[in-house]
Amino acid sequence: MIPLTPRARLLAAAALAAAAWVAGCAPQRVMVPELTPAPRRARFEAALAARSARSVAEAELNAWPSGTALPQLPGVQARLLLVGPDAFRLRVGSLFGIALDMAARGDSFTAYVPPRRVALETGAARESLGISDPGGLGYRMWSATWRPPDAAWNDAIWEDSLLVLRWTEAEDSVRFAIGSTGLPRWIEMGRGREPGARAEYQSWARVEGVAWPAVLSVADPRGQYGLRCHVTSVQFRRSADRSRLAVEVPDQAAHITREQLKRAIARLGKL
Amino acid sequence: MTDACAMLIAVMLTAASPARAGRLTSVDPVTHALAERLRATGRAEVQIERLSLDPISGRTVAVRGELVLEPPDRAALEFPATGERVTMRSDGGEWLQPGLRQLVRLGAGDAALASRWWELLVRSSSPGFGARRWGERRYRVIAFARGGLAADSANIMLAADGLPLRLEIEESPGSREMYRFRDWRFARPRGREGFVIRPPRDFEVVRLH
Repeated sequence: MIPLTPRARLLAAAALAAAAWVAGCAPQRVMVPELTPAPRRARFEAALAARSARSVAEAELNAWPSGTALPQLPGVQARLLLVGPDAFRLRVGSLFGIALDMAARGDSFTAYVPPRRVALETGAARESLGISDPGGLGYRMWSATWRPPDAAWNDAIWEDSLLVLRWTEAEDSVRFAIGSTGLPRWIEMGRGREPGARAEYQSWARVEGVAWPAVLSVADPRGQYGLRCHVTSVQFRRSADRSRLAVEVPDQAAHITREQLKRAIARLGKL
Repeated sequence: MTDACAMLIAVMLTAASPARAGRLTSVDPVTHALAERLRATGRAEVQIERLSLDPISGRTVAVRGELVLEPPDRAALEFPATGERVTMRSDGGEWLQPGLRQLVRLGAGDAALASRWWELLVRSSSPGFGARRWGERRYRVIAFARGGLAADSANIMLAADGLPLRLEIEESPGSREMYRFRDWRFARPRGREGFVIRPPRDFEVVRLH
């Protein structure tokens, strides 16, 4: 190495600073905002097709309930089975084994709370729960396979960097935001003009080359009830044995209503 | 291995066929050997393997751990693979879940529910249980309803030395857990402090309401 005099060192430093300054003044690459929804729709539909092709998935969940209507509750661990297009099963673990086992297929819904030995079984969830197609709703939520109708793309609007679509499904009004990567960011579903429940896709992971929701939070509009879920150990299956969607309810279990089920689940935090 | 575990559970269930039921007696024949050793030493440690059927995957899940018992009321479970630990005492307990970065504090009632089957092992004189003999060293143990807890039952199999070899619990149809016990060791008791879990830094502490 050639030794430098103090003056030479000063000149070298000045030259470096000047070069940095000149580089800073050089024209920068500017990201041009998207002016039409078409490129984003293309990215969205490609990613949606990839997720939809994996119609059977198993996963583990770490979930933390929260909300102003809830006491401080512990986080829970659960196993999830998704079978597209309209079925899921969720088994929530507890210190005592299984705290809650629930499954939905289309409009049928079963939930069993082993510690309380109570169950809710219905073949017509729309009538008894007020939720039509809970199986399809759950599958779409966990897999983020929401499908906006064509008309919704025509009326899409930009909210900052998000492309927001609106449409109606049965009695629900839906708002759906898609990020620049083409992945869903959030969805809101409400009745009429009432603000609706909101699911946010806060983080995504690559599973076998497919973008899949990794962190999902769901909350009601008043913030009374919420759930934040970390989805891990996702495994896609080629096919599903649909018998694995069946929650076995013992003969001696008491059958309860929707409101009683909500109370039984709320009391699980007291176990 | 998975098939072997499933077969083992199937064999246990077959062995518990009602056709071979005996009359209900005290649990003394089930717990006598363990109670004697605990009386003489004060502490038992045993390697356990928890096998459970996961109806979602259709597979048997096996987790290894350790169970520690100290009469009259202390039990602890630890599963090194996940770091999960549970302690149960008559005044409550703790449940450490590293996966959730939380420690759940259990009240006395929660601990009683969680430790129901371990109480059978640690408090052999408990009047809360009855047993039916099903075969050579095989028993069906009944936990009587009490203190808000519903009646429950489990299958237990003893080794040749009379110490528990397997415990099978059926939580609900299609949801069974089996604990296999291996290498029972006995030592002097270490006291309550060893059955209290302190929350690690940055862990959320949640008290069940």
